[in-house]
Amino acid sequence: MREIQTGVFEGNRKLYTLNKIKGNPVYGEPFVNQNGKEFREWNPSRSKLAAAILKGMEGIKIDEKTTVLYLGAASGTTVSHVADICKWVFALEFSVETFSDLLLVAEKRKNIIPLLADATMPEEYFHRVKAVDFLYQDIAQKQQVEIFERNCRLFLKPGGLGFLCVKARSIDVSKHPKKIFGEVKEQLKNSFRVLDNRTMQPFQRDHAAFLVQRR
Amino acid sequence: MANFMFTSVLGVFVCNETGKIVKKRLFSDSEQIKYQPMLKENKWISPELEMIKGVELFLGFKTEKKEGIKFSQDVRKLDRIELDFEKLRLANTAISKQEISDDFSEDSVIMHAIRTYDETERVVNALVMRLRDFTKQYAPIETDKAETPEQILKLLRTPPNNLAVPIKGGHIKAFLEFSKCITELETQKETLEKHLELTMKRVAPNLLGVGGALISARLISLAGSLKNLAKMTYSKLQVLGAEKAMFRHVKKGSKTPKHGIIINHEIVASAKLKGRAARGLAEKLSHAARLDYFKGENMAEKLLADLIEKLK
Repeated sequence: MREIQTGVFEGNRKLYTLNKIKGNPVYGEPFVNQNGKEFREWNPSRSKLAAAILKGMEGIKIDEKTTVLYLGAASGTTVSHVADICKWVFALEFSVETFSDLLLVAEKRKNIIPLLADATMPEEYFHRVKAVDFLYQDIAQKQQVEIFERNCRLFLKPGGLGFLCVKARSIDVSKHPKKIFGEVKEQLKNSFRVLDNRTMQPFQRDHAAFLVQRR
Repeated sequence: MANFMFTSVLGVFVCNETGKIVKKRLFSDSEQIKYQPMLKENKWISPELEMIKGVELFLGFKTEKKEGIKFSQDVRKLDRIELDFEKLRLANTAISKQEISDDFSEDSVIMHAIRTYDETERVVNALVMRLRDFTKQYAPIETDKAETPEQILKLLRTPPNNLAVPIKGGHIKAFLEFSKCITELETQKETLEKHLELTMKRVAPNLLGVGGALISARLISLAGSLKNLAKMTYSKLQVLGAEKAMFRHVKKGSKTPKHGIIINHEIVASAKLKGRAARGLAEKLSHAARLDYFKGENMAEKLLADLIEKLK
């Protein structure tokens, strides 16, 4: 088991995070025990952040001091791994059905702050969060880039990092994903420093990840 | 010196330029819940107004302007205010739980009920098909004649006198024993339908009156909620359930579908000009959905009478 970046471990070509709540899986993921520590396997087919790390994206700096705003938390799969690494994570989810799953995860993992809110309307949850060091967005919306920019402007500290998952299919089904990714990159360059970008093949189809820094 | 105000889920804070809190009014647990709807809609709340004197800047959004107050959403200011994360967690969790229970509405019950109903029907049909294969072995003519599930079950209960194939042993009896679960499913399906009707009577009386319990419930289920159905144009409602045909039309330019699930309504099913009847019914159903969503009066009978008059 080798620590490839703060809080993220690699062994046997698989990713792991150190389980903060011992003996407690979130979505039935396997554990590996080593030196009295428990590691949770991080499945890149279920988590785009894991996929990006495995694809070699560098500079995703999350450590035990980081506060994260996570837009599109869903049932809390990736959130739980982020929570293993970071200090606090605001986890935002809009759909009531999936949010109840997220609440269950947050009940055990006490550094997750669950928010039932719509990421397209940051003015509705402005009073519920704080400025953060890292902003993660994974929502399937046509306007996902604009939503990302807006949330970063409101909540991301200057110099802070933003991670955007782009789902080409929800921006435009008929266009070629590569073309969409190019356009997204140009658009992001207007307001950020684009540090890295990768497609998610073979873990996720027609997805790409962008790592940006706020100026 | 410019003081600014910031309202969080924890309370109202007045801070000086460096972000140091100079005045605060913390919310109690019940106040956190109480003020949330207003804060979400960015309305001024009374604790804010009590403390507004001497404040020049408000950090955040408000729909209503106030004299002498500027607005800012500067992230540096948001960063400087010191708030306790553990308290933020507790407050946000409590608010989210409250919002979940507020979100519960009876149209979700309608949707679950109709989906369960349709699923039960599908299962019953599949099981009866199985039994039909069995009864066909010893009573081929009678099985072919049988149309309803009940008639198939009757062949198990009282097999005809001269069997086409002599089946000995307890075979028929074993299947008869199994078929009891089908009868039970049928009974429970009817009970569920009654409950669905009762719920619809309270939540969507107009839809119930115009479209009947099953069709109206399916419309709500397809739309996602009564609210969505009420917001829908009637032409969209008309083709709910015909998505495949609709997309074929949009993509390949084939003919537009004229009816979705409302084809099952007797007015459309029995009409000669089905497209015309579907259009008329969809319009009335849409009207009914809006009446129900905005808690209007019950005028289902009038809507139905209008429609029948129109289609004459």
